Amino acid sequence: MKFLVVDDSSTMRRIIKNSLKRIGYEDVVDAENGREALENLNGIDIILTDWNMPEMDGLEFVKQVRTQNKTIPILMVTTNAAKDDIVEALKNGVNNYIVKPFTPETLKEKVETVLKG
Amino acid sequence: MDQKDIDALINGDSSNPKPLGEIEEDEVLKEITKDLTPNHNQAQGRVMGQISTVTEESEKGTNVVMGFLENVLTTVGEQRSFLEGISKKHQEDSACIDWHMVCAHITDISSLIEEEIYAAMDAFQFQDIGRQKLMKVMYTLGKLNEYLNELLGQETSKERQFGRHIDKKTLEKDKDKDQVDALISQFKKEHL
Repeated sequence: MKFLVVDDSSTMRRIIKNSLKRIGYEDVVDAENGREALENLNGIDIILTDWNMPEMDGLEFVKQVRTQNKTIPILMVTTNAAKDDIVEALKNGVNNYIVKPFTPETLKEKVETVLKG
Repeated sequence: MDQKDIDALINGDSSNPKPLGEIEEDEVLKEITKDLTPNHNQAQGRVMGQISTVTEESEKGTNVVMGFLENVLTTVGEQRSFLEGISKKHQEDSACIDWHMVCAHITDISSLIEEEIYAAMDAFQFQDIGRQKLMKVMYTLGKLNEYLNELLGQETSKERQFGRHIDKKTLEKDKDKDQVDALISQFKKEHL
């Protein structure tokens, strides 16, 4: 199972990668923003993306991914917690949503949920 | 007024053209704002630069600490593998029963250390939250700058990304989880 973690914060990328490693997912690549992530989609099984990023934000990235892949599971991990933001993300193809700060248990639960479909 | 002028005023230097009482209000205002008005872009840039430096340095610092924690995790993992190897090697040897107990005990302690280190690394999420709060401050300053530039006919600054409601964000983990889960369930019922 190959993960793509997209976040402009190197700290967050590291935290997410370590949390994934802890729950048994070691194959993780990362990107700093949506534009960079789009160039690294080959062979990816699941995407975890932040929303607020420079260059290309998470929502635009999700829209772009969905034009080429309708089924890949996408989990948005962001500080945005407003109802309108969550609904907008879901409407644009996000499968599930985590609000920062989060616990590793939540990450595990959400990853398993989106992988089950 | 710079220090030289102040000193001259205090010392009653004759080179000061006007006594205090004769200085007009406009002149005072001009004097106060003379260092601000022509260089306001530079001053704004300095503030943005300083905030940006704070966020970058705190991110770098966090990564340094996380690097150390990851090294500890690696070492603990190596120790665990070493002990497991020895235990397996002497599995059938009843004379080594105390040694097996020691290995099991150290392995349990290793697990506790790993748990604590993972918890410490998770706690570093505060850095990203703090960074985004500062970015919102930068965004607000940028908007203010744009407004002033528009008023004064200067170029606009570029758009910045930040959490929309980051100002009320706390460090409490999974604070919004139940609400988010309920919303996702409702959305899926209605749309899928």
